[in-house]
Amino acid sequence: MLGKLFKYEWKSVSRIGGLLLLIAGGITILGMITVRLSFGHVMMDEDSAMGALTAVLGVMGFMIFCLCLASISYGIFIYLGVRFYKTMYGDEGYLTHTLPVTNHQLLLSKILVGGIWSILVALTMALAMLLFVASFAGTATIADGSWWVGFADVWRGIFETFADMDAGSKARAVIVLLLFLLTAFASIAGLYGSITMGQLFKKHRGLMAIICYFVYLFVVWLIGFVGGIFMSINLALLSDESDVLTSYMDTYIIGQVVILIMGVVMYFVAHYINEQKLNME
Amino acid sequence: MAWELDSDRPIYAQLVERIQMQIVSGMYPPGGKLPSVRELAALAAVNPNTMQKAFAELERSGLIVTQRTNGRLVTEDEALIKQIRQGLAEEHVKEFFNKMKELGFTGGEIVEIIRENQASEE
Amino acid sequence: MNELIEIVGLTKSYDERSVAVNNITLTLPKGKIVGLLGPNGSGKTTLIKMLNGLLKPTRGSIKINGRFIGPETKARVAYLPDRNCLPEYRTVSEMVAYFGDFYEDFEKTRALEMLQSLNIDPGTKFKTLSKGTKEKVQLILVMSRKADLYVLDEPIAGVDPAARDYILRTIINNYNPEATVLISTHLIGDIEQVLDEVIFMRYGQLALYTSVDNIREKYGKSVDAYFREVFAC
Repeated sequence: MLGKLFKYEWKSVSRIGGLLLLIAGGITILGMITVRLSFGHVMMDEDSAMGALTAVLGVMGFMIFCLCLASISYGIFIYLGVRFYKTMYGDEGYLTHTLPVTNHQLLLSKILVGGIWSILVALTMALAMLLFVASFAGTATIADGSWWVGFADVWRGIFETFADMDAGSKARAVIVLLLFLLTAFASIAGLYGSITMGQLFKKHRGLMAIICYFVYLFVVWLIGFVGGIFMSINLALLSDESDVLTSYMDTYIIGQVVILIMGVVMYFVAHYINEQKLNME
Repeated sequence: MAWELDSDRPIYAQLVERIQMQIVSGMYPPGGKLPSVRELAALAAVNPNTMQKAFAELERSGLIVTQRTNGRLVTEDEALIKQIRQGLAEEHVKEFFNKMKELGFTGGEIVEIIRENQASEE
Repeated sequence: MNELIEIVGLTKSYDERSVAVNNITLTLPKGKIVGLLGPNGSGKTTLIKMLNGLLKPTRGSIKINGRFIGPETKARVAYLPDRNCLPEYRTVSEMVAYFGDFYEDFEKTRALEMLQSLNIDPGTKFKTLSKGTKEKVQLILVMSRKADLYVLDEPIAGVDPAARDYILRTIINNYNPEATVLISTHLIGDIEQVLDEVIFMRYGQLALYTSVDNIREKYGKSVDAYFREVFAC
């Protein structure tokens, strides 16, 4: 049953998810072309007034690009939230909740699909960023292909940074990556759990769902913040660890662990409410 | 399409009457096959259990016979059918006479009215 | 065992003052078409939700075929809610596949036959169908299941007479002595010819549970007329 639920959830979400990724791809290509056409041969000339102007425009273009990407990232999140609400607690909920499945299967299938898609979107955003930034590098037009050289440079830079890290930092980096994947699911669980909490209220359940979500975000931030301060003080006192990158990663890791734990908590909250407190309409 | 039935009285009794009429009038000939309970219930737009009850009643009166292989058939006992037909006719006539007497007609006047109507019918 | 539904001491209360269903004990047999009748606020909807696992009782129990409400009972109960609950962007054939996927007792060929007899093109999306057609499709999907219990919530409300005939005929044709159909409605007159038994509910309680013939023979009235008498304001 879980497989079937997953299949149908995946079908529905990919319609919109795929569309968003396509849009992201389109924006990236558009951005890259714009950059190459506008700045290709002028970028490296820092001294002239033209150089300064193009630098400013370049930064603006970059910010607009980031805005677009951010919208798409939020877009998938909002879509997942709205879809969860509609399929679980809207009219469609009458269909959903009379399927011969357990609440665990229902929630898990949705969290799995939501998590995978948010990872896909995040990876695509990262790739888009990379491509866009890389298109600034290089000094020639697209025609002779040397923008690709700039792109390769960026990749090489990343790999070198990683290779240069010591064992401890490498381990941390791997953990960061793993956490990134896991917290995608935890964040979705947090979203779905908050929406479910909205069902505890008699009226304005949609509004309460949104409010609960912000409360959830605040709680996560608060715990992470306090924990982070605590950890930083601890580390500063107890070790000689002065590598900035490492301490950033540590703070990040703490925040992510909080999200993970909260994700599990919210999952069980959502399950409990669906089992015991469900009251459709 | 659905049969006109009166909700104030038990439906199954009305179904019995209806099917009796259909049999004596020849719609379902002697020895002929009857539709299944489900089919007739759907046609009449009534509950199949109610139709089943009507069939059971008709079976008891001998008008319908159930054969294991052939399903439900109208009886071949033509005398019985004739008897029921006669019985129904007499009921209608009694009712007619009662109504006419209520209007104040005498027996002789009633027969005269019948004769006139019969002539115009044919 | 001829009992399909065993309800014992069923109560649903939201707080001390608001009790939607109040201590109902009732056993429904197999092979009957039962009407669930009562004015608004009588607890009909709450009872239906509890039968379908959409609401948890406060006290008491419901068993369907000896099982408590859960995924196993949901696999054997076919529910037609009083609203359109199928996704708008999906096509009819996608929903036929969906039902077939989740419900073992779903008979795909029957569903397709019924759709064809109504000239409904399975390739159409729900959002392009008229309200009446959407309802018919939902009914077809529900009635194409060979379930133990069919729960139909207001199946003929807001539907034209031809469609109403079609719906009643479908219910009759679908009849199976191992299953029970529970029809909740306020349009008693249109449906009483199809009913075996009726449940009257009032103020969350069971006011009456009896056979339809009993009412007609004992009181010489139709169920509709008797209901009006009992529930006159």
